[in-house]
Amino acid sequence: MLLLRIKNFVFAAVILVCAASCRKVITLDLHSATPRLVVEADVTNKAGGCQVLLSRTVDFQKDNSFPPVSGASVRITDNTGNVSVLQETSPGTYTSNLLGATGVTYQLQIIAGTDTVTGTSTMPVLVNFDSLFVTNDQIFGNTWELANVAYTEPSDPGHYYQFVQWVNGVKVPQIYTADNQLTAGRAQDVKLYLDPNTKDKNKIKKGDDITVEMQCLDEGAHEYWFSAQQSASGNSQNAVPANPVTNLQGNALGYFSVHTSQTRSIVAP
Amino acid sequence: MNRPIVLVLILLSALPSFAQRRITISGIVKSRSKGETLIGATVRADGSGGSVTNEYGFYSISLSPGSHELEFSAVGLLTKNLTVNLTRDTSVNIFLADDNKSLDEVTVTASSKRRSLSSPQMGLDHVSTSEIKNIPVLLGERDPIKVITLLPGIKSAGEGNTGFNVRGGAADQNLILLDEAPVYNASHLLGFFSTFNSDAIKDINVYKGGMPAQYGGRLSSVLDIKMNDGNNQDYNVSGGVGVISAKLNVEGPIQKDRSSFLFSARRTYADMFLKLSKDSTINSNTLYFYDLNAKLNYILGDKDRLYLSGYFGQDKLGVGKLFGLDWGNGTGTLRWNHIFSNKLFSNTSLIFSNYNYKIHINSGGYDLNIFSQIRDWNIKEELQWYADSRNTLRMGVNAIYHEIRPGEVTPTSANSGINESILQRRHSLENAVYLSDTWKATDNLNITYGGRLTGFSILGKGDFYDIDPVSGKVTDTLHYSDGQVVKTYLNFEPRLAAALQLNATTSIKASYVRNVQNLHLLANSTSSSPTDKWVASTNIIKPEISDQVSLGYYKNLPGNVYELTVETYYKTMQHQVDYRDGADVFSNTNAIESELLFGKGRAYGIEWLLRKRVGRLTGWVSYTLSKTEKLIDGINNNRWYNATQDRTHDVAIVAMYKLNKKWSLSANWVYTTGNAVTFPAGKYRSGDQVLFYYTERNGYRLPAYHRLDLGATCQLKQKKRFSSELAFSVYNAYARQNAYTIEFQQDPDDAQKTQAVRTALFGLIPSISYNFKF
Repeated sequence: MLLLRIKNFVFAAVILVCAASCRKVITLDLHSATPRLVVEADVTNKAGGCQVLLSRTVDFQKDNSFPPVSGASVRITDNTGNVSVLQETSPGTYTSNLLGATGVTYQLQIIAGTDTVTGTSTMPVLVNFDSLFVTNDQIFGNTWELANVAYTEPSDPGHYYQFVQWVNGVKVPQIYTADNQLTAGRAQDVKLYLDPNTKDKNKIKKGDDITVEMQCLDEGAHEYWFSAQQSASGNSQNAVPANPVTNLQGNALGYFSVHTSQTRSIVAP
Repeated sequence: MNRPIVLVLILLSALPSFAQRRITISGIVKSRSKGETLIGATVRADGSGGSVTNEYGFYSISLSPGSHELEFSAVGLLTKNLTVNLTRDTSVNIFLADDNKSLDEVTVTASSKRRSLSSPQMGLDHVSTSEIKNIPVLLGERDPIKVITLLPGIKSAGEGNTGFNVRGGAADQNLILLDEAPVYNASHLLGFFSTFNSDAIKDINVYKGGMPAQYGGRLSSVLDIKMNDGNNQDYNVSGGVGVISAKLNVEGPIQKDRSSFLFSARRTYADMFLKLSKDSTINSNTLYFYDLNAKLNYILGDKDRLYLSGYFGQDKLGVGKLFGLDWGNGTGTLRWNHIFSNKLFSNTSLIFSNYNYKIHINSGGYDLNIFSQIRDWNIKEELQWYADSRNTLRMGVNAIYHEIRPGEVTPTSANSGINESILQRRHSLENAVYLSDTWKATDNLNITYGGRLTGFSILGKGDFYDIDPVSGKVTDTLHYSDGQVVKTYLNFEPRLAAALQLNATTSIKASYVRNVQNLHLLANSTSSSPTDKWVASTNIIKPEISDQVSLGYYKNLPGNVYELTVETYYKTMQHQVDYRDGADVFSNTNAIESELLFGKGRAYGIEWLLRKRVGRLTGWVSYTLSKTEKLIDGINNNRWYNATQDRTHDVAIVAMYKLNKKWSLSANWVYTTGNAVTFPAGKYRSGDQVLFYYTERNGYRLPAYHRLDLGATCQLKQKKRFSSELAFSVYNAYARQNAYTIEFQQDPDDAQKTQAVRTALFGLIPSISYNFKF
């Protein structure tokens, strides 16, 4: 939640400023692990949004090239029995022309070798992405240009969101989630803070292209992204490190998310 | 509950009548120069045996009629000898003068030794105020809690972390008492300093095991801190200015010999430097804390004494208007000592304790405050009955009413993006009755036996829940009205200990204690924070229970200059609480149990302490070898894993050297195995970024932590009543970059790689402070 984000941003900044602290890249001897199946399954309300990526985990020291899993059987069934069979359009990538409809519950079924993975997700009601704008914020003597998302929370409970940010076409490696537990019925202005340790070359500057996608998720998908941000993004400030809470059954990491997608872009002034 | 106690009392009162006729002499032992009562002063009769004064300076011994040589002694004071001819019960108050020995005399007598080989009390460490003053700590702040972490079995939770861990226990399993009032968060500034101003403190005792029956409520330790009463002979002003803080202590008599007051204040002023900056994003930041201690005491008559003490402290952290975090404790204690007779001493206490935190956020579309609080009202009555020369009994009753306001979120402007959300208040009543007898079974064998019966009642009004343990979903809501009892947990805690003195310099001891804890601090990360939640037991959260068995070997080495202590322990803990994976710590829900998992823990180890208390060079070497593990249903595939605070080796070497009349030097070196941590075994892609893959909890260790601190104090020229000193210290003298945290991230220069980044908090930090007294 955003309160947590603000709190952590400040804690990190306080520690940095407080003492003669020092960050250094080190080498660690980490154990290997048997590669495990990873599922990234999305169905959206936009054409081309239905995509399932299958890959495997790699050891920490290796490059970030995640071996795709080919030849799997991937199908998505809706609650009226319509089956959409996804075709492998490139290694590890399975797509179909399925368009998610509001209120419909979808079942995912993947058979990859000896692994069977299933999952369920429901397309939530779309909450309008009102606007995207950039603000200048002064934090600890530094000026940050930050993207802000504006939308109005519905007044009924149970709405969940994820925001994905790209700067000049490159995804910002941060997960932004929100829910309406405390915010029902209110207008929201969510600031997409960057990691306080972001290098200058990666910060937002005048003329940069900023694109933000607003996703409305169901509870299970939100739980995945929320716990991924808390426990699996590499720091232990928020929570004890652990694998995200998955909404999949079977021996796989990852998620199945049926969500609405709205995208806006802006050029940083 | 009355009948069994009455029966026991009748039984025990029968004992003395079978022994030969004894006369009792009692009284209060005080320091002549200050009028302060002396805790733990030794009283010996005819060169043997004897007893110690209690926490109010009261002693009572029973001897045969006739002439006896009594000897009263306390560390740092001149021993007083008194010949008495006992014909009937008497009371004699004793005043001990200051001992201003020259440095060259190293006169050691057995009676000036502080520790008792014959007492069954084990697992007890005592820190004197002179040790606190001499041991160098961060930024020159003299910190009692940092000093106790140099003793075996007690580990600091780490730099930048609040709390400490005793014999593998979690940081919330320590009962921290300031003049009997519990202090819920004894840390300032994210754990760099404690809330205790060493100028106001008289005595510190830490019980790691063998907790006596009068203490209860936490599993792993009792940190019992007693404040000075206030000099009732003469006025004293002392104070100091250091690199980041300033303090002032004023004490004196209100009516000489009868009443006195004490007032201490301390404040950091680091934020004053921030205000000097021209940059408005820096000068609007706040970073300070303050502590206020006050005490009044009044001697009403020969038999009665009244004390009123209070503490108030606050921390304020703020980033301009954007974000603010305040937290603080307030405590108050009113105590009445009454001496019924030479053999019966009573203390009645009324105690109040409060801890709360407030968060202010004012960022973009969010203007809100978050508030959380725990508040205790406590009444306690204790009787100490010095029944005869072989039995000293302690009995008492204690009732605490807890009120917790778990979380209140309020918007502070009309167009704030947040709705108001106020969680229900939680009320509970914690009652205890205890009885124990320290019995001199034979000349060499002393046994303490007894126990504590506690009842914890959860009260309405409020909603309590039935929760499915696997999914965490609420299956039923139960409504309770005001004062209605939701559930009562009854527990009996045996407290047993024995000491066998093998010869004049050696003894062995054993103890078994059970402790029950009904208040739990929920922390969801490897570092604790002032915003962690205190939660009382509920219909689902059961009281935590620990059972600890320990054995010890104690030897005073030849010459009585060195003391060796070896203690080993084994502790089991039940009903331990942890957050489930992916729990939203800031979720403002009444059904907190839906975020929790339960399990058990175990800890064992062996502690060595070699201590030198006399001479120019004093100090100690301590070494602890230990292990702490947890098994929580739902974590680590239900297998045992190392607790975060598990550190295999823990070494501390402390040395204080009095060079000459002007200079004294000190040094301490610590080495500990790193905390158990969870590191990834691999990584994968999720939504176009890298996530880290974990296969086990706490399967790795941070690098070993070690650090050397040096200190030197120089006494400046003394004029009449005014004396001052300059204290220099260097923290982390060889500038080791000890890992505060190790994090993982994508390499910012190479998108194909991930890297591990170590953050260290402190390099070498020198400091200087000036202290005065008149």
